[in-house]
Amino acid sequence: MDAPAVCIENLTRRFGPLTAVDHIQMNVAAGQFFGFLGPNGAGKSTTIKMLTGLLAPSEGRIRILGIDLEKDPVAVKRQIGVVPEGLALFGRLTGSEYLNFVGRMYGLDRKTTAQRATELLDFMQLSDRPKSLITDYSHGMQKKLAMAAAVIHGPRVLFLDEPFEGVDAVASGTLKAMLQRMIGHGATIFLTSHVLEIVERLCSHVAIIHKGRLVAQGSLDELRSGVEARLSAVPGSAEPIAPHEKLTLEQIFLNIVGGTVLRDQELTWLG
Amino acid sequence: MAGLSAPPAPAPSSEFRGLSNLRMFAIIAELRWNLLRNSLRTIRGRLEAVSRAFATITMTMLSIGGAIGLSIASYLTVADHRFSYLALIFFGIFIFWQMYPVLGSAFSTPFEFGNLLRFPMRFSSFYLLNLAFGLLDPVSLVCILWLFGVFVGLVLADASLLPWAFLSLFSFGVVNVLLSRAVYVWLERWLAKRRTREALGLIFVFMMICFQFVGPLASRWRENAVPLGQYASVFHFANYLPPGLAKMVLLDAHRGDQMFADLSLVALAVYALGIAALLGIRLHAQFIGENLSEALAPTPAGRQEKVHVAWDLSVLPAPVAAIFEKEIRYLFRSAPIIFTFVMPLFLLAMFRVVPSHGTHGASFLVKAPDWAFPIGAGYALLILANIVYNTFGADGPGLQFILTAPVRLRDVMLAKNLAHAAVFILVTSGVLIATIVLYRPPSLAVTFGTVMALLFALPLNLAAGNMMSIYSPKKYDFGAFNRQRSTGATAFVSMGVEAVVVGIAAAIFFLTRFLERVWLAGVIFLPLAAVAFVVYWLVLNLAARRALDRREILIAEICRT
Repeated sequence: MDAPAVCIENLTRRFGPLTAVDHIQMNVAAGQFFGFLGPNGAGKSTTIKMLTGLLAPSEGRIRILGIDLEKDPVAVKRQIGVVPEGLALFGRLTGSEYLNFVGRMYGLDRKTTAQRATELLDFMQLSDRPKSLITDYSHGMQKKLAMAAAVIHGPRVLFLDEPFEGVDAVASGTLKAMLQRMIGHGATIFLTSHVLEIVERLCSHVAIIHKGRLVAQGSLDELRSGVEARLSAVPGSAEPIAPHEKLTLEQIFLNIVGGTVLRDQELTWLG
Repeated sequence: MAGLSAPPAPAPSSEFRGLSNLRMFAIIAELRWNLLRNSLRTIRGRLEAVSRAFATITMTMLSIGGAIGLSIASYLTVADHRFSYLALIFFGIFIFWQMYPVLGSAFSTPFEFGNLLRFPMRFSSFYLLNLAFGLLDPVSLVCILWLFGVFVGLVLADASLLPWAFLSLFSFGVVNVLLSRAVYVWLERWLAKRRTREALGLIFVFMMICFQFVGPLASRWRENAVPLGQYASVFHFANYLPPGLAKMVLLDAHRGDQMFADLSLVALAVYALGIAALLGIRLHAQFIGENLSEALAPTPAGRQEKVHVAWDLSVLPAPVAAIFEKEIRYLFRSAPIIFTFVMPLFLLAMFRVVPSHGTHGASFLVKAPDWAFPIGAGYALLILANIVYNTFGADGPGLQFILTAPVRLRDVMLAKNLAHAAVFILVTSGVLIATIVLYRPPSLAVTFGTVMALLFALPLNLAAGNMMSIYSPKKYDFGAFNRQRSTGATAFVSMGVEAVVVGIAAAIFFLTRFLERVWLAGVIFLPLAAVAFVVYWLVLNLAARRALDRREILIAEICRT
């Protein structure tokens, strides 16, 4: 049996007295499109930073494709692609120069790197700004470039922190198509996003982190059944479900993290 | 239903026409005060506030000194009836007032007045706020102080000029405040571009450097100097410009030609009204929605990206070659850094133009040209500390990529050091050429000794730089001209290392020179260089391990926005 793409055991990260990630256990099977969700400050970015080697865990173990991240970080990094929170771009390079730099850092030869860089720039519709430095790109363009850089070496596992934030509908469609194609080719994608509609449409499996603890994990159907069972067990539930209506991911998420309370509040002075 | 506030506050009336100008100023003043107060919450913020306070005090002292100087100069021009010199003073102030804010914009992010427009603000408030911003600009305050100095000098020289001096200088000041804002607002769109700001910064610093040459050149050719009065005659054509008109008011008043003095004042008022109208047109366009600061249209679609192929550096492993190329591109794409690299050449040129006649006036290097190369190369090493001791500083968010890439940090640091060493070799070669052109070719013994001394000094600096880059990192913007200081710890260590290295090198050179065996210096440096290389290699491995341990601190500092 193949090793899971991502295997997390007892992962914990403390910042002084604050425990940002608290003993997380999680497996992501190879080939899954995995959504990692949580409210602001829940510990999503901290977790993804630890998974990509940007942050050392306080406790716990991470294995990517069966390789221990702590013992052999270089071997793990060779297999993964990352779009972190800050996009990890070098602002004073052009898009083409940056992709060539990234390709070489992943050990690709000059010719292959140049060829893939050109294809990626065309695919991401970034090839019409040949002289522009990345620092002069719009946020959406920077995001597309960061995504291009994350896949130039053909990673087997892709970690994406909020990949659709600040990206227009056209670019978002391009990115989604590319990610779907990668899944089709057997890659694993681990993404965090606040846009639950996108996660619902793309991801087959989801985990929800809340206040540093993993509060739900499984396929969307498994999560849906769990919440439905819970709601039907509570008489006079706030949001009754119609017999043939499926719960949306947003409803599942709000139910799990308890985000319905504020809906009853009103700002009386608003028109 | 739970309300968040009770009782409900009344909604703004539909008749609300915007806040009064005074209320708007008070709100903005309060906003600035809160920003300042909040900036003092961190140690860095407090240190910056102290640094700013010192800079303000220094600038104020210098400005007061300038005002006193201008006061004396104005007094003498009137007392000696040489009004053409007054035009020179006014033109000097005028050029400084108008040019400095534009060139100085390279050193700061422009304040986006357009951001205020989302609030219910009247056009008059917007206009007046813009003027207030121009009036409270440090350059304006300095120039107003200088005009006050001129005023005092004029009145002391001829008390009957008091009303005319007041009217003339007041009008001149108003014209300048209006014009500086008008120029800035019209150029704002252009200045919003990063490249423009960088180019202006380069021009500004270059002008400042050229200014340093004025003194030595003037004293060098002072015997052939043309009396300044002859230059002053050139300004006659400019009598119809604001500085010339300000002078004409005073000249005509001094002569008793009140009608002509009045005419000149009216002309100044016409200038002020015309400029105010131009400013109004532009600000009104901004007020009704045109964004003057938005970037210019992007390159039209259709131009395809030229296929870029990485440099062929097959002698190096691919990741090392990639980092090397990136570092070189970064360094040579940064105007402030390029400017730093040419500083040793300026230094050599500066010492060269110091008068060489006589015995006491000649520079040390003119008297002992053989030492121009070692001193220039030593200076090049000193300025390189800026990047060597903060090697990740300019990477910004890209540092995250380096940390997630399958590359050992040892290789990353090695590649960066190789790039810095290559640049150092280039700068030192420039120093050698400048020495040959400006002085004379250094002797073989001095050249050999210098090269060996550098082979000793460079690895030690790189080793110390690598450690300090990890233990005391500081975000560094290669595109900004404003002085970006390294951390106190880095400054302390780099100065210490330089002091020790330069001290050892100087001692060896002086000793061998004293013994009249300068060639021996190179031989002494050779084993020292070998030891320095071993130290570098050991520290490189240690630094790479420490960098991984301290990655969170590095990311927190370097990747912050």
